[in-house]
Amino acid sequence: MQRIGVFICHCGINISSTVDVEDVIHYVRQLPGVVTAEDYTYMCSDPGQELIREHIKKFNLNKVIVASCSPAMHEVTFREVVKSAGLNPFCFEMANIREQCSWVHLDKNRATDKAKAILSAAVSRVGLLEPLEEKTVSVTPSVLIIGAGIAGIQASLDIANAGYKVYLVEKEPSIGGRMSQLDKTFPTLDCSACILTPKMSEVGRHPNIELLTYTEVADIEGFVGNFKVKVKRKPTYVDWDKCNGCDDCTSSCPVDLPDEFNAGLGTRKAIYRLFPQAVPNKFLIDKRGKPPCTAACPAGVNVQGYIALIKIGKFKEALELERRDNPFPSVCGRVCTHPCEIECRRAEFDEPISIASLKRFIADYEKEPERPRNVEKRMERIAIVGSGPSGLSCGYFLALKGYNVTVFEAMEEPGGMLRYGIPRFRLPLDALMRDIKYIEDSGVEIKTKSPIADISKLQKDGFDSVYVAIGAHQEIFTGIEGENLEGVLSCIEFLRKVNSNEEVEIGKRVAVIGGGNAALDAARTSKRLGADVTILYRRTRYEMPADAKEIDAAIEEGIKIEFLSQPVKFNGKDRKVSGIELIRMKLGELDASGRRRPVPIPGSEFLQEVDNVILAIGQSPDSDWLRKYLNITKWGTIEVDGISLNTGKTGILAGGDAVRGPSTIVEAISDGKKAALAIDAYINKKELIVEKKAIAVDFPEPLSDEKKERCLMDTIPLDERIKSFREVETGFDEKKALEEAKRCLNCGGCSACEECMKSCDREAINYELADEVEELECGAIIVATGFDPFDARIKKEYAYNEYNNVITGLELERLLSASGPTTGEIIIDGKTPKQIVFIHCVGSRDESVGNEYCSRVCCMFIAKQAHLVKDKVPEVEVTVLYMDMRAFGKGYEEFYDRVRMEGVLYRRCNPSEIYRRGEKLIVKVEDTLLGELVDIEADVVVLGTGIVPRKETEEIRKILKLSKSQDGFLLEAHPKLRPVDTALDGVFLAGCCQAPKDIPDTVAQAKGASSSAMSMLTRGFVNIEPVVSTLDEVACSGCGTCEVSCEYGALTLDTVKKIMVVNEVLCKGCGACASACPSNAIILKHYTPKQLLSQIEAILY
Amino acid sequence: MGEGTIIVKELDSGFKYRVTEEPGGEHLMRCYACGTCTASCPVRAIEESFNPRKIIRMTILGMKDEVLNSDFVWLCSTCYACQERCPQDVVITELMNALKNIAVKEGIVHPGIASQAQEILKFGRVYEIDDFANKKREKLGLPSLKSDSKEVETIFKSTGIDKYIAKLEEEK
Repeated sequence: MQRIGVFICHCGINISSTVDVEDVIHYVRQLPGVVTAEDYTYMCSDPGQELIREHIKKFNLNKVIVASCSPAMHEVTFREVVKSAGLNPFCFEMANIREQCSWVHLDKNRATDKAKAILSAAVSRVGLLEPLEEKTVSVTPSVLIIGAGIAGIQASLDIANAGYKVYLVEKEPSIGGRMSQLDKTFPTLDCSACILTPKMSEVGRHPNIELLTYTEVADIEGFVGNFKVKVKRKPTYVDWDKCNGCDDCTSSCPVDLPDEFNAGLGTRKAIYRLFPQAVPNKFLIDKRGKPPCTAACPAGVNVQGYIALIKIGKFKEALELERRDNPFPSVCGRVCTHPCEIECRRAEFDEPISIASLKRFIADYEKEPERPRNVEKRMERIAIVGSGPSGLSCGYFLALKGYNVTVFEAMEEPGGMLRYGIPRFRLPLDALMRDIKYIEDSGVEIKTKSPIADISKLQKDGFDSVYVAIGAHQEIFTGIEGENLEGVLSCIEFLRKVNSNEEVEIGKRVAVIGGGNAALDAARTSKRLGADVTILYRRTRYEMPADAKEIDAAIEEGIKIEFLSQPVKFNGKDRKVSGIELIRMKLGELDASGRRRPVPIPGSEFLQEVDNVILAIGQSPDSDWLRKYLNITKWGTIEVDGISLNTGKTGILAGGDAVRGPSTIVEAISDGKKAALAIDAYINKKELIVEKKAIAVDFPEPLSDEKKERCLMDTIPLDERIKSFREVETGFDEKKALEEAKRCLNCGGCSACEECMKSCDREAINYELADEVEELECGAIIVATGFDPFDARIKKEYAYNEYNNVITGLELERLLSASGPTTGEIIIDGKTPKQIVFIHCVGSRDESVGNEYCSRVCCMFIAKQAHLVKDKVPEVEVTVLYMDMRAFGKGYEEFYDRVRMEGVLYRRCNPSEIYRRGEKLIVKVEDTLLGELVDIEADVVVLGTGIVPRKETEEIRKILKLSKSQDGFLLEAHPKLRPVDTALDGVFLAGCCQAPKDIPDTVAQAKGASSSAMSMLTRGFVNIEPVVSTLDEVACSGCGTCEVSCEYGALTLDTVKKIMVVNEVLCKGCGACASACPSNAIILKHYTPKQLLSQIEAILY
Repeated sequence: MGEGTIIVKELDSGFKYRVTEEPGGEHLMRCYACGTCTASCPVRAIEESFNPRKIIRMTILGMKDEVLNSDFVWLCSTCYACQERCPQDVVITELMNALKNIAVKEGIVHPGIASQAQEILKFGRVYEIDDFANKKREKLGLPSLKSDSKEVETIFKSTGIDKYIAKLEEEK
């Protein structure tokens, strides 16, 4: 038997002015089961609550309906009332006739009808409600606080002082937040540091606070009272247990990066602490990954590292760093194709760094080659066939590991193509021999005049492993008629003879056929031997594989290049070549190499008279003799595994041109290095680990926007060039090298030069540290992630990007601060301003940038800054451009008065644009109180940039599944009554993550949040809503559809019973699973289909 | 704007609603009178009587007669500088169009605009295509044009613009 009581609230006149309450009462009284119906002005007030209790007793009610506002507002209130009268609180239903009725309708009759329908539905439903029992769970007595600005610091101290454990997580390396960047605070003008730093050090010392700086929240699971948190501790590359904050390291660091703490004004080192008062007082290294230059280098040379060392004049250390990855600095500084320079990010700005020239400088600078470090010798012996760059590199890296290395060279002298293929005017012999000597000094034995005929014999002779690096020394011929005539020379043969000082006779007219570096080398060599040289190439300059630098040099030297021409036949006289029949080509479709295929033009044949022809169309390895041991491709190259360079024969590896075909020196070196690693792994029976360091993407901004051309090497005079084999380029002097190295943008942050390691007595620096994940448990969470200042670049008309003297409020704050880049002096572009203009509402109250809200602090921080500027530079003229003045806090209006009294001029206007006229900035406005246009002159314009939601807060928001309000800030549970709570029980908000606010409000909110968290902790348990899903075990098929639909991970599959299981503690009662279940096996308590359908039916009929 | 004191009871307090109902006028009441529009306005730079901020203010205050009868509404060069920079998204250029449309409905048209409309009605475009123009087109390989206004007449008739023009003729 139902005994239902209905209580209708007028909500002042909110409901009664639109709904005829009297009429509704009459209607409700005659509904089945209703024994009483009453109304009252404020049902939620004390007399209203008493009215309900009285009627429950008087009429012995077993169900109660309150028709008033939204359940989100007062369901909990009325459940408590019902409970206190002895009824189960779930035998109560709330009918919303305010938000869903009176507030959205104007017609009283129709609104009254709707109220009746809503109530009839409620009566129908309430009859079917069943009593439910609330569960309680215990609370972990600790709190996680995310963000250690003033809000997080205050909340931490309050909770820790009450005796509870606090985990304070901060993503920056120090606590302090935005407040630590401020100079003085309005309206009292206390110094921000003076009031903040004592709190910071208290946090650092507090036994109940576990400080987790440079840490991010990765994941949060669990529920109110019992959260499980995963935090990611980012690597600092400095062992904080060892670091004592002595600051010996920073002076040794060659890398300057923009100083974020000083709002990008000034620089800091790659090893740094956020600011001198940082808590914890520890240093860290800003590593952003592999810079593009290093990533582009096949040998993986730490380019940024040695350039950074050059910049500080540590040339010896730079060379040492280079030699870790490349034993050929002198060679590569001259003839490397430098893919690093192609990727150099400075090219986007002006021109790439002259990396190769800098490398040559450090190699040439070395007077007495440093003897390589002695390493512990091993027993194993390694044989290397071929002493070119690949073979010698492999030997070098193995010798560094202590192996006994013997390099077998067939020729008279070591060096391979470096010695016999590259002309001396590009790579002088002593430059090559310096590198080879260093390699020999490292413990590599080179046996020249020692051709190998049998690879397997080497293994039989006791070599544990063999690296075959025989290069590609065999000329590829054209197959054209007349190729065998006397005077038709092979390029390799020609260059070898010249480089070996053998007698070479060539005629006056020489044609070189080909477009690669070898062709250019042959042409320039011929020129030096006194010939008139023409290069014949079948495509255009654009497709030419030779380096642009070499092509330019050849043209400078008077060498003709005949593009789009191909030989058809070599004509001879007396068995000696006398001319070439050529045909003109045009470019057709793309071929396999991605270049346009040359196509002959019929009838375009022509004749060129010559005395000599040099063929330089390509080379291949001389590998026929290897066929019985190894797999050889149809191009004559050796087949290997691309990663391990293994030939398939155990212990035999191959690399360089012998594998790739004619390729670059640095790729040959890279193969040698790879082979050494693979051989080491093979001998030690370890797995070959290929290092894969992440490439930098978060590049530092350039420190200056000044464009600067790259330095180039000088060359010897042209007339001397074409007569001798003297090296053409003369190299950098010290001054040029220092200047050029300064252009580096430090793309990877830390350059890994290791200077800091040398300076740290405590050996705290460790480049190998990695992310660590820690797990924490806590009962409550306070989110205090703060704000970002509005990005002034978005307001293009204020030209922040264009002029250095348009600055943001935060930048001025750093300039005013004694700990700032100018130690508190207002100097911009080297000058003290005489006229300063401040602009209000930059990025706030501005629809054009999508921010409708007021940032609440700008009016006052500008007033404060205007005062401080006047204080420091009394003669300065200060104009503040405002639209509405908001001085709403305690002492604020008085402060505003004071600033005006000091002579700061307030003009009511908003600028249309800022531009430069002569020395001055012009701020264009209409003084709206005068109705006149004014061009205001300024030396400095300060943009009163507002507050926007912090970028990283979004990640926390997603992890916690919190809501945000329309302005993008985190949403509180109720704007007035629950301003620090969120919709998620146990999660609280403090500070600017919830909305813009000043320091007093932030601290107040932090105290509110900490007290809310503590009241839960002190109580020791929390109630869990009994409105959860239940499972019909018979109907459930274990399909998992509900698991996917559940946001809270409350449903899991019982693998034994093959049905789903509901975790009632995790379930939020949203009902998503119940509607998703295809077999209706899930029923949400308190919202059963029967209860809901009866409600709907009552409305429909 | 008249001299002396503004008599509040003479103002049309409903005028602002009429403007917000006109396409382009919807955001009128957002204006917080910062003057960004006026400072951006190239017309204001040479002609003091044209001040978008003041026009918006007068419209909100209900100074209907002053707004509709003045020359200044018609002076807007539709360069959109104010609209681009307005921090309150008042869409000022469109708002000026809305005011012009209301003025026309009230039978108030600037004589310059009116005579342009007459030209369009006569020639189908703002000026007459003469032999010279057609010869030039011929040289460029373009077909010659006729001064045919049949379609325009239809448009004018169906939109009712012809009546306004006729009325203006009468007044002349």
